[in-house]
Amino acid sequence: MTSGGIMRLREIAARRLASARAMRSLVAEQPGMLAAIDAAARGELPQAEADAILDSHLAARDACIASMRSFDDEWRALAAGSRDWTPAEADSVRGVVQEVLELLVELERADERLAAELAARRRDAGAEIARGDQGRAAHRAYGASGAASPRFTDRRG
Amino acid sequence: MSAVGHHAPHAEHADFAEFIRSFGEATARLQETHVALQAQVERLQAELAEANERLRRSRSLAALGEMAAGIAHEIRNPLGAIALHAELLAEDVADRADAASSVDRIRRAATRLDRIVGDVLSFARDTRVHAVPTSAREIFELALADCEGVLEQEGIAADIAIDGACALVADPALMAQAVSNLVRNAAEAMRGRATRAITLSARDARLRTADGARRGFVVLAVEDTGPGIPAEARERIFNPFFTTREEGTGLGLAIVHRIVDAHGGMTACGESSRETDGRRGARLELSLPLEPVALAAADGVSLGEAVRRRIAGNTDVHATAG
Repeated sequence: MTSGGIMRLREIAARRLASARAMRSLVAEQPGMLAAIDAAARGELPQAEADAILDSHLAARDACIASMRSFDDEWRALAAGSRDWTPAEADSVRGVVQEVLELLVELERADERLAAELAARRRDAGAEIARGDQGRAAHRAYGASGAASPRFTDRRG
Repeated sequence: MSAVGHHAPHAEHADFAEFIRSFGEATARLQETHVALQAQVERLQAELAEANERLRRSRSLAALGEMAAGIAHEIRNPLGAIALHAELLAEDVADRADAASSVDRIRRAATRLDRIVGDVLSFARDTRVHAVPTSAREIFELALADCEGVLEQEGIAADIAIDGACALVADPALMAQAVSNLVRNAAEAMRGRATRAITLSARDARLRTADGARRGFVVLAVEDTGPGIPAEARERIFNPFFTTREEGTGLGLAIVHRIVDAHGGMTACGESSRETDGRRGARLELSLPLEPVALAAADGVSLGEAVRRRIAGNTDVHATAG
């Protein structure tokens, strides 16, 4: 591998590290984001605002991941030539890649926690809706009465 | 370089190449997780939107109920004056048939208006349950005593069929009011039909509640031989202000729901098990826990929370009974 190739690989690794760090900093936003969802569920925050917070968070994550993956082909090609590297050259990249991989593991765990939190909130939101659905299912189970029009209300109003 | 010495760097290089490649796998996993999270967020947003819409509707209805109660309260005083003076007039014109007929109409209209006002106030006021040990039989007997005049006037026979002990802790006066509303509805629904009968039945049951647990309930049911409740109306008949009659305020069954809801119970409607004149009448069920569910004080009694629970979906027992 040429020294230019090594330099390029180091440059990509540095960019990926920056993206992974940026994505880790987004993890700090998650408690606030979950609080916004809770507030929206209680009707204390317009849902549009909670949606905007969620969408913005996801868009920022999307950008970080896209940035990390944008050099995949070039990275693979450069990595394929790593067998020709001297130990010193390999060491000059190893540290950065190791740090990125550690960050990715950390991010994966954070994502698992976020997924669990979202699932819990979906269960809460779904519980209210499910009650209505159960009611509708029960009503359907009775079948149609065949009456021409609704007639049933209290005689006193 | 020795053979061994030659191998070690190769192995090291191979490991390093693998190490470099593993980066791609890690980012691919992260992307997969991200896509899954995005999908979950989208579903959560849709569910929140639906839950919020229900909350918004329930708040609107509660606000409407409170406003109606305010107006009803203001109407009651002048209405009392109208009724009083109509009574006085009735005595004065007792010997003049035309005038007496007009005064009688005023009195009947005032009575009807007073009932509507009473319903609005009854619906909007906090429903406080004074629970005591009681039974389905006591509730039914109180309700039938309340409806005695209507049943006699309409010539309707009412039977009571109780299966099991059906003992519970509840507010018998409130529950009798709820059952009485159902009986009055049934009497009106059967008007003009050849066969007119009402059955009040009760049974002990273990039902699955919204939290998934099975609990003991007493199920009170009122069945009639009327034309039945159309499927399209069943979901909404307990909603406040839902009425299919020109004269109705749509609060009678909403009051039933409020009373049952205040006990932590459930309401359901459907078809009668009996077929009369080729059709099935209506069956309304009130399922009460053996003891009132301890709701938070404000939640249990307030109109807003009761309507919220109603709009969130009146839990019906048949789908999960067993």
